[in-house]
Amino acid sequence: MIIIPEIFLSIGFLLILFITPFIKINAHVKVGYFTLLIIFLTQFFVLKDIFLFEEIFNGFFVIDSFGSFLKSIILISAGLVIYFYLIIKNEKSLLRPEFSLVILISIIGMMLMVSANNLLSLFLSMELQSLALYILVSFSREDINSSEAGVKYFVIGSLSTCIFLFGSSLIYGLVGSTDFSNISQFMSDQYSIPIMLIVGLIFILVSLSLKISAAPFHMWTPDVYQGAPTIVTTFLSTAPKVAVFAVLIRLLVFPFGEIIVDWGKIVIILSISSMIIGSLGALKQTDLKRLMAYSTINHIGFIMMGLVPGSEDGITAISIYLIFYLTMNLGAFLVILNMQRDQINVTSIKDLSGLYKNEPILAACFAVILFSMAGIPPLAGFIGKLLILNIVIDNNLFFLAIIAVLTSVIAAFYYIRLVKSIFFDPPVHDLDNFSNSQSKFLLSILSLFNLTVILYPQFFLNLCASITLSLFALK
Amino acid sequence: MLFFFFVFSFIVIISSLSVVFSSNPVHSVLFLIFTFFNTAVIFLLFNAEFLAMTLIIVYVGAVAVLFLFVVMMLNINDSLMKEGFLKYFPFGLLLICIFFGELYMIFESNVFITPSDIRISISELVDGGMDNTKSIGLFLYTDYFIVFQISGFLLLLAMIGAIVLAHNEKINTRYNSPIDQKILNKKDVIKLN
Repeated sequence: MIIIPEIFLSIGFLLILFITPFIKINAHVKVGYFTLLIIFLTQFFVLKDIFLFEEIFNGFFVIDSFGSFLKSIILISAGLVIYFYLIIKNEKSLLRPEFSLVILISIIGMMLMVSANNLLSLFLSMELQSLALYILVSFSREDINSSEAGVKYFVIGSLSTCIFLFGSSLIYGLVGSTDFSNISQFMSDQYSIPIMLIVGLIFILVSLSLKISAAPFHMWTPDVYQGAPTIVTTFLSTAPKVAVFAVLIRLLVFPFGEIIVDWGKIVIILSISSMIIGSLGALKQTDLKRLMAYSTINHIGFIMMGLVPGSEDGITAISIYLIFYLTMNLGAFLVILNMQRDQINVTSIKDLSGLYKNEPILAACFAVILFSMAGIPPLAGFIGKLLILNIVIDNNLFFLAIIAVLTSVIAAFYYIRLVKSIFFDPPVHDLDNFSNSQSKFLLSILSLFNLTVILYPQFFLNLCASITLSLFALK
Repeated sequence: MLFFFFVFSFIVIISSLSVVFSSNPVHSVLFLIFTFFNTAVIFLLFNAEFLAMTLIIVYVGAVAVLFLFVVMMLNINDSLMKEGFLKYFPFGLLLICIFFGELYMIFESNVFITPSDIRISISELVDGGMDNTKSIGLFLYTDYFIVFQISGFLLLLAMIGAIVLAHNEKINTRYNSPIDQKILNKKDVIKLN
């Protein structure tokens, strides 16, 4: 019936919050495992309702297969991040029980975002998730970079909030309602769309691009990714992106589906500039986290291309690409998290050199993930890129496809440079041993996934196609 | 009624001009509070008692008092602030013209919907004998219930965040924990002869 997963998650959050002060010893570990348990149980509730379609709370939220599917992806990736947090040696300021709690409340925000069907509920749930992210970024208090990143992220995030509110107030002023179905009703009734409505949509698009770090609204990304504690960067580059993409798809394809000619151009410009900046900006980076930030921008640009036709196939391709993107990013960040010297996380590219000599299997796994990010066949990243390019070419957007391929080639250079430094450079400084077997196990599973997806691509294709079908059925 | 409206609007205009032109920043803030009070009275004249209450509670009770504290702490030198007034004056005038032009265009055009088109009309409810606060409450706790709950969560998160970022667990304070004292063994204690 109603939003049971979110309610369960909220009650679980409040329960853990209540018992946290009474746990004296090793509170962060125990709270972390409780959080994992809650996320695991919520997953069942999400999957139970995956075939349901219902508008609830006076149309403030909508439950459908598309939303439930993305919620389940968000839960899996957030659960993995919390598991990473538990198995990896963190710096001391991160070892507080509030860490998992803030991640949990940000998941609640994301899940509400995915199913929001009204500008008001969308705004509030987006604020819930981004406020949690600001706290997470500035979590490590002893580290001055973390505070700096927190302030930057907060300022940019507030700006994006203001822009979003301005855009939605314009739309509310024209339509008289913030409900998505009323907005789409208004669109179909009108002979000519008032220009103010498009202006409002542009404001909302700009705000969402700031959240998703699509160029030219990407400037905060490298600084925040570098300054934040690495475990937070892992979280920042995975689950929130899925949630914002869900919002983009729901907003652009449904209420504003009529004016696809207008927003299509904007999305094309966003994706072209993201791909160019994401590939060129990373060339000179020496820090792995900064490099990952640019790589994220590049991937976001690639995913945005799938939105341009606004069709079912495009959204299927986006969903598949998002899944592969999550596995690649989680794998890469798992290695970065494990790069420690004297118990301190180091993130320079130089520190990677000669990894192959010490840890051959691990280096091979990492190389697989990097090749997958570069889009080299037959790995998962290649399949994602192929699907998106296929959509783009089907819609006769050849210039977009050419730019995408060219930037992918440039981007492949810096991924392969990492591989070269892992395998062929002499080791400069020895890192601490990758002692924990759990992260080795997880990393090998993630890279195995990337390797073997080519054997059963039809499974993902069918799954995502049926999910998107439900999204279009209600139109 | 109209007479009172003009009286209070006149006071509002005078006091808000004084906010800008008074030389002492503390006086400015006090004039700002005075402006808020008079605006609240104007709201009351038009039966919008909820807006009047929130204006006084939120703006006077919280925001203006915060301003007052900040102004008192910062020790602002106003002769420095008035420097370059003439330099920025033309730009300010331009902004004022643009702002008034925009206002004029909004009032002239009928791009935006009129209040009667809005789905929930508070004025109808008020005419039907419900007062403002009651009807807002009715909508907030029924139709807009879920949004209200999410805002509650937002505030809870803000509280947790403030504690996470500001709370400092001091290890070397001289606080004696009663539990530690109770579980102390006799052999751990230093004996002074």
